[in-house]
Amino acid sequence: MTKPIRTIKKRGNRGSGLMESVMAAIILVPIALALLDLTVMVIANSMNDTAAKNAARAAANQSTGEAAHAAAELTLKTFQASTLVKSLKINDFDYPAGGKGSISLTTVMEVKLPVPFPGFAGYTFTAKDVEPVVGTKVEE
Amino acid sequence: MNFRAFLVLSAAASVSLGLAGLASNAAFAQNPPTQPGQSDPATRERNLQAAKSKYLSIMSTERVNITERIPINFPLPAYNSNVTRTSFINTTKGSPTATAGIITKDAPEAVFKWYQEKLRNAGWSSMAASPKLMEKLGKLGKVYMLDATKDTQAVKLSCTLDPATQGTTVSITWVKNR
Amino acid sequence: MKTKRDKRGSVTAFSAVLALALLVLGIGFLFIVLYMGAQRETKNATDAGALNVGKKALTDISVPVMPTDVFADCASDSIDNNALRDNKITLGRINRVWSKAMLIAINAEAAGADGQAGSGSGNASQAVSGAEEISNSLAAKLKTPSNLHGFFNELSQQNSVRMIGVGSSTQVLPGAGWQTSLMDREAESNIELTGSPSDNFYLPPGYSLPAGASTQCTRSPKPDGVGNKYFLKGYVPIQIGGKTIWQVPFKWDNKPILVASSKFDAEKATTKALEWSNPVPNAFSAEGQALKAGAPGEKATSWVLSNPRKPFKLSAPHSFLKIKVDQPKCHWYFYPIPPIKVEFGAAQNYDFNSSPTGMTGTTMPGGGVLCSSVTPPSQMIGLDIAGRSLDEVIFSLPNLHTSETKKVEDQMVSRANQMISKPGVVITPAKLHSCLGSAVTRLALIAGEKNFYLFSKDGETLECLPKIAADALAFTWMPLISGKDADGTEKKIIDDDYMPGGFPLPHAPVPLPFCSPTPLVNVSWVLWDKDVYWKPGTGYNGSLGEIRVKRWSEVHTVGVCNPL
Repeated sequence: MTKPIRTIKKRGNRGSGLMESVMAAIILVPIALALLDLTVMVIANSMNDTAAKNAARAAANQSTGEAAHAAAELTLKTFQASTLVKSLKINDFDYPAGGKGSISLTTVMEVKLPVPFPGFAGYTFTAKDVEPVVGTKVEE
Repeated sequence: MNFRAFLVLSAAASVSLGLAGLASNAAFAQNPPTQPGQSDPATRERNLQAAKSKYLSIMSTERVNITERIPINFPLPAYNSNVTRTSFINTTKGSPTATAGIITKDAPEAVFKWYQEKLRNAGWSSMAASPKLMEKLGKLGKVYMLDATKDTQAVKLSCTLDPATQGTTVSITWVKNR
Repeated sequence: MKTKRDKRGSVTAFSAVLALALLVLGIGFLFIVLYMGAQRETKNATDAGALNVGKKALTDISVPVMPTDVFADCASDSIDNNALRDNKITLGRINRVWSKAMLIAINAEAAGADGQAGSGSGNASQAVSGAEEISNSLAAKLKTPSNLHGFFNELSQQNSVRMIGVGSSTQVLPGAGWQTSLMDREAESNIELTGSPSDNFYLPPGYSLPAGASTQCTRSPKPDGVGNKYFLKGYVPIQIGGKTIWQVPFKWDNKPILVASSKFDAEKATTKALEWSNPVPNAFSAEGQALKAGAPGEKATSWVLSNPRKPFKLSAPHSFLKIKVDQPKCHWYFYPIPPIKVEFGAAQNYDFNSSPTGMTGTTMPGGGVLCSSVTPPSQMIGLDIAGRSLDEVIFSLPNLHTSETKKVEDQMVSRANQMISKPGVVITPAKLHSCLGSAVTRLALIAGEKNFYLFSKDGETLECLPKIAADALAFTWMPLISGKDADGTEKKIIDDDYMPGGFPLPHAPVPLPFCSPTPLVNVSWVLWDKDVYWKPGTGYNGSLGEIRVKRWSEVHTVGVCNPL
């Protein structure tokens, strides 16, 4: 009388661990992967901010718009493209006429997520930095 | 003493000194002159010497020396064509400086060109007043001027037209700065 | 049974806990990253704001000066003397003010040493007091943080602090974070000296700049282009005739830069005192705060060292040197009682537009030894000035008094350099002579002009022109000051430099009765004479001095007769 019951119990016990693991994995793995993506996004955003800051600071040290743009471009070249960072470029560059005022620069960084989700394979970050132009002499 | 009073006094003193000189001239007072109003040769000679010494005292005080002949060691050659008169004055103290004067019957332009060439050949660097400048001065064709330098020497030369004779009066002022 | 029931579902529970832990960790990590990012963004925004403070403090905080003020000519960032002034003294210009006061004091000191101070010493004291007053006002404004807040916000607000929250920005955090410092002590200021110590920086003859008042560029390594230039030293008391002059250091060609707080703090007036009772600061600290509505945000402090990156030469921008040519005259001398010389007859004028010209003097009764009268022969007068330029009138023949002539030249070269504001430009004696010897001065003299002005219209080149032309060329300032007299007293520097000129000519005096002209001694000669006077000016009223040239001719006529 008890045997079938035992048999049933044994069958249930034997597969439940695996089933639970699968169920747990279904919940945990996406969370972990999402966290990985999130980490990459946060780091990429930070990198983009730093890139914009450095490029703007380099440009602000120049006395002409041409030299400022060249300096900003040169600064961005130090950021190496990788499998995750697809591109980093200047999107908007505003050098004040005669170097009077402040420089405004926007960088755009395209990031490919390490774990693409359907409809969310990558993200484009923009960062803007405004710096006073110090590369010009006191205006006459 | 004001200036006019000084002049009157000095002029009067000059006359009185002269008259005193006459009065104190023994030869004039005691010996009859060889010609009317003239002293004997010895007295005349003494008088001449006395006059010359006065002249020399002036030259000494003014620190100048004047002669009719231009010394041969004058740094610039003396123009020697159709020359009717020369004169020379130099300072006897301080930095050497002198002025040579030449009067010639030749035209100013010719004399001036002669000097320009001589200066150039002797290595002087000279700068002549331009005709435009002389025209501004109203002296075009009448006065020719140049400045020249060589080492520490400087010369200022002018050739001026004598309207009466159409000849030239040359003035060469030379200075050497130590 | 209990054990078996516990085992069943344990993985699920564990997974749930793990998932929760992961989520908590992930969110925690995200917050930490956001916090750090926000901190970085705030710092970046504060840096930008502080840099703007360092930049705008140079130009946008000012002390007004009246257009008639002695330092009104320093109210410009341009070296061009003709550039319009805005009547504001800023941090970038304060060294111009102090250095002009210094130049005035130097000129007064040098004139005093020559016994020609006149009212120059008093003017120098007033100039230094004036500079100090402006400096103190500026220092007070720069040390008032609220005057700088706007510059900070202008830039800090434009920089994103999105990690704090949407709509948040970095703003001024008033308080102890806003301080000033006196950095780069003993480094160069933005006032360049002319030349080098070997040529005494072209300062007035006989005057020497105090030891330790100057320095070469202190940047290491030395930047290209600075060469062997010398500058006034910043934050070092420079003593000129008992007056103390100050400069704010601005290292050559440096930009406003962010500096470390340790360096900033070490040079604060409260940490390391300066003799300067009210120093003008060159460094500023700025504190900002990024706020999210209703929540505390981030704050950051930055330290900036300012620099206008604009050097000037030690100069009095709106200044001039007057050159006056006296009317040339011909004097007639006789020797009635040798060797005493007597002038007789009125001196006759001759001029640049009529020379050379034949002139005859008045007959002098008793004008020679045993002479009834002496009449000078017609002499060619004016060969010394005919067609001459101003340079030749001052420096050319007669020029036998070489050391005195050099003194005049040195004074003029020194003053000419004081008119030049452009760094690196040196007025050498050759440049001065070239300017004075221009065709313009030659033609102006022929046209009858006797008063000339030596000045710089653009702070770079030198001009020598008659008053009307000087007023026109430097129309923004010269008409206001060209009527001013030098504040020193006049002294004859070249005293009767003379030489024979013209042609020694014979003449025949009229002898007294019983006398006859002595042969070979009755001669008339011409002397060219020159006096040059120097009246120093400090530059307080614009006049850096006056050169007066007196040219004349003397005709000496010797009349000697001897008894017959």
